[in-house]
Amino acid sequence: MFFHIFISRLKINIRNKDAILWSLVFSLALGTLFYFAFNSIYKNAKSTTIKVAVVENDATSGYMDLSSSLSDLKYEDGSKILDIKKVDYDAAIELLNKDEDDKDRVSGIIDLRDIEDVKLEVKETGTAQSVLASVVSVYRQYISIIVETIKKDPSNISNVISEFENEAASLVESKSLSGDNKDPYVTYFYSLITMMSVMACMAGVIVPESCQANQSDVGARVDVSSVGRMTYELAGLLSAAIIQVSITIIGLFYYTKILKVNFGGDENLVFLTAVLSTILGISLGFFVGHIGRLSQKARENILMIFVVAGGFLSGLMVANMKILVEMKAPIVNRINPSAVITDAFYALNMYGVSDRYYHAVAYIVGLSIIFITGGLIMSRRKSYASL
Amino acid sequence: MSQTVVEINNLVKRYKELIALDNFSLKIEEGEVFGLLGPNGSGKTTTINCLLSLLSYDKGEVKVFGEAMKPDRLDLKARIGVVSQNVAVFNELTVYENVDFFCGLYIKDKKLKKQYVNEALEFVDIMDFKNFYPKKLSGGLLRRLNIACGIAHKPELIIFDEPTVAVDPQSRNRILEGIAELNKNGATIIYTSHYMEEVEQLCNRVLIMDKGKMIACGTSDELRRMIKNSESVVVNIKRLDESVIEDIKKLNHVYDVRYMNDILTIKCSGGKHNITHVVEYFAERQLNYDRIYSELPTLNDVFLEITGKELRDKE
Amino acid sequence: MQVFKSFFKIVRSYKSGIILYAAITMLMAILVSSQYDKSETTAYSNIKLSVLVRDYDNSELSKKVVDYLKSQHDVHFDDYEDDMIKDLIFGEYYTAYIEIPKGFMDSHLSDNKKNISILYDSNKAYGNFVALELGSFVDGVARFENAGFTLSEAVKNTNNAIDTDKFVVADNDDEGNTNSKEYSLFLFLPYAIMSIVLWCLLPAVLRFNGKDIKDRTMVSRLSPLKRNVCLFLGSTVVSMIVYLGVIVVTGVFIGSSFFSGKCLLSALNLLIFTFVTGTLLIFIASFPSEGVLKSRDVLVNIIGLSFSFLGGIFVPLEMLGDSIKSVGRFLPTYWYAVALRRIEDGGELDTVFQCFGMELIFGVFCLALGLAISRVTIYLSKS
Repeated sequence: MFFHIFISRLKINIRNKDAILWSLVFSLALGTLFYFAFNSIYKNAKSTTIKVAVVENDATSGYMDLSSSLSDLKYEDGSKILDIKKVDYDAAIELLNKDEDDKDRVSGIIDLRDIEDVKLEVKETGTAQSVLASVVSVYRQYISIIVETIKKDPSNISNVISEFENEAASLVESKSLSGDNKDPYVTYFYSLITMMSVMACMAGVIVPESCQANQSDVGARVDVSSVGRMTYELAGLLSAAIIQVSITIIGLFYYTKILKVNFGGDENLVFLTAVLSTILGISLGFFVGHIGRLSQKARENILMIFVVAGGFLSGLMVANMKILVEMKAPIVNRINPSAVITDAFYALNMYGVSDRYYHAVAYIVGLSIIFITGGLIMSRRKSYASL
Repeated sequence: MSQTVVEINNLVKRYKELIALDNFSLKIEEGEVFGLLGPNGSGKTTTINCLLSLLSYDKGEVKVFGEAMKPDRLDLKARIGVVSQNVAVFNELTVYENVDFFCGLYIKDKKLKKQYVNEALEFVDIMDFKNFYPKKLSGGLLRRLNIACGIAHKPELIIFDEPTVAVDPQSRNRILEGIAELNKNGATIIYTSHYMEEVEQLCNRVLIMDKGKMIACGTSDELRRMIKNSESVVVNIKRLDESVIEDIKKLNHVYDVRYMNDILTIKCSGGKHNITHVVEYFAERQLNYDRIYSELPTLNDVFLEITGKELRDKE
Repeated sequence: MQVFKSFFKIVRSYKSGIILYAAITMLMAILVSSQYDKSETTAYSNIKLSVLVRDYDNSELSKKVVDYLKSQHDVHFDDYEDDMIKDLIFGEYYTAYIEIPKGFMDSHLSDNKKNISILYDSNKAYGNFVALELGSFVDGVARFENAGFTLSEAVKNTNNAIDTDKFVVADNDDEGNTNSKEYSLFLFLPYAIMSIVLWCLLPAVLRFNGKDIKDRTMVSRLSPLKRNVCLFLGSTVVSMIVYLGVIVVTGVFIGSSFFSGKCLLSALNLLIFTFVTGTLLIFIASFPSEGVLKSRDVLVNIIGLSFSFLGGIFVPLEMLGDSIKSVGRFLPTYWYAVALRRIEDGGELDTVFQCFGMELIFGVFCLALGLAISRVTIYLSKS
């Protein structure tokens, strides 16, 4: 009988083409949109080489080999921070004033003509200009040490220069943020998969509808039959789960294989997490489907508000919202299923298979069990006060 | 000896201030076609839902097949079939799949289930439409599908709750014939309706109810004998004098005379050949009339006399 | 008038859902605006970033380091766990985390130095910039001290050497963007309006466009045009009621600054957008109703989220790729965001009104298309 009900419910779910179609449209359309919107942001921010013009004169050219040490500065991945162009001042001004989309445009001019007063000329405020200012300030320091030492104690100058030559290690130790994919915009994809998974609750909420007399005519017919309630509902849940999990997997496959979004961490675990999250979504709907005497429409409204609000709080619309919630009311992130699911993906990316990931998965699985068990307990056969 | 299939004793059901069932009782024997008749809102569907343990009740006792009926008595439910007032089928499944699904909730054996499903489709005569989806069916065919879903598993007790509402005459006749056949094959039938003609045609015993109370119960003949009116003589006659009406009132066994819209209705209590007496009177007075006929009292008359109102709203 | 009046009755039956949904989306809007209460960079200086600092040393030198950081950036001293700190840097809430260890000052000139650690995403210029800057200050101070200067002399000389006012020649008019609380709130409101209006009114409009009801009204004396006009007017009126509710809540939250020119203009922008959303509703409801009604939840989310992302509501327009912006230009959310930006930056009124015009063009287009589709479906059903 379980198999009979399961097959029939599967047919009913599959033939509900509108629901399946719109769910797929949701995941594929939004995923594509996110891809084109965010794909280039991090790549462009990442390791951006800054074009700069360096102006020297014969007196200062080669002095302290400033320009070659400038060009030696590198990012973690080995790419250069600065792209140096040695030109005269007029040519440098021309390069600075070029249009924004001109590839020869420079972000600033480092003027080395007066070595005691190295200057930086820029046209606007921005990260590139700030990086150039930091670079120039280092060299101005060196110069300042020499000048001030000469003023204070000229006999010490040789010590100072030998200190420069035997440059001690910096007092500032850089530590790079770990993680497989450090692109913060990947969190939008986490939130999207999360929303798809939690939206599966709309498939879960209709399972009780078809076996409770106070919810539908078909429910009344099934309620007076001799089929066990648990058998019926579990078969219904399983059929809903298969459809919804398939939709989630299709969406995730599209993101990872077609759009080539790197979720970070083991891809198999990413898929597994998505599957478990979808089951959580269905079980949530299943549970809400049994609560109280609300109409089916009211239940669906409550679930949709939960999906949207939960998605918002986990960073679907404004990426920093989850962090803001973590700072102001961390308990919300612990109990909001959407936040826990996005955290599972994040943990896989940043820490791999770690305690944080296990905690998230344990919560997802545990909550699913609680919802399903709670729903089954509430669904035991009873008479209704009114139909 | 026939078994009592359904026994309801002193059932009380309240919806806040409204008493839907007021110490309601009935007993249905095995093999009966039992009619539950009453106007809209009299409590017929409430009775059925309480009988099936879908509705809770405040007081009373419900027994089916001699045992107390409860929501988790799946063994009792396995022997009951329900054809509800509303069409309860899945729009996403075909006709065949719907009957197969609901039959499968009772019958585990695949071969037997298949046989039952085909028999049910043949029985309601919708085999030609087995691959259609419910949306494509007319109202009458949908009702037949609804019936097939309720009876496919060959239950011992079948409850029809107003199965012919909004159904064309051809389908209606087909449904009534089918129900009679089911009864012939051994099923006990409970049939609720506010169409007295169907109940009179189909049922062995009828219970008339109103406002949650039993008004009368018995065979059609027994019910008719309960009221004063044993015969109504109806005459289509134009421009009748008041004195004629007074004279007719004085005839034997006549207890009520009404003249409205050129129709003279003479109610008689007891006696024989009442129509002959009326014909003789008109002949004596040389009065011309268009038509004269006699009719036996209907269940509506029974209801009207007992409650003072019509069984069904005037159409 | 019959259709118009009945429309309201139907909408009233959904009022509890409307109120609940409106409350949730307004709460979301307020939450979003609460994180944008600080202004960003103004005229030329190095860019100001948010950094998290922990000073375990609490020495004279470490305090100087912290003072230097405070002069350059927005420094925070919140106490978070390590995982949380990584989350905050990953999410670009902080650019870097700087930890000054105990014993830093005592050891900084010796061979066994205890280094200041800085955690950041090394693939990004922001993080590298902060590291470079901090390094130049701290190492500069150490160099001066090694050259025989006292700590306070070393700090003073280092500051002089690296003070951008002394060596950066800026030739720009760029005053940078400011994002006030009001701007952030108004930026989110189109999403709230779209969600509320589409989610709550769609079922009501679709009831009238359901096959049976539509057929019944079509055989009446009421002409299709009049019927559609009534539906449109009904949707518009209800949308305006929603708008008023949203504006009242916004006004209460913003306070007296709501009556400033910028806010009033922003409110006008939102009014136009609300009207346009009403026309979008008519367009969507002109399609076969059963499929749309069943998928209302998903459909509203698709439209609300995609319009908002493409239009620069959730993510600033400047950050979106060119291909996305070229698509976004066809949407009213884009022109709403552009108008709002111009209002915030004190742009010319006629440039703002241009954006209003673009929004209205979209609205007219939706309305015309919706009415045309409705007409065609009636014609097809009759034939």
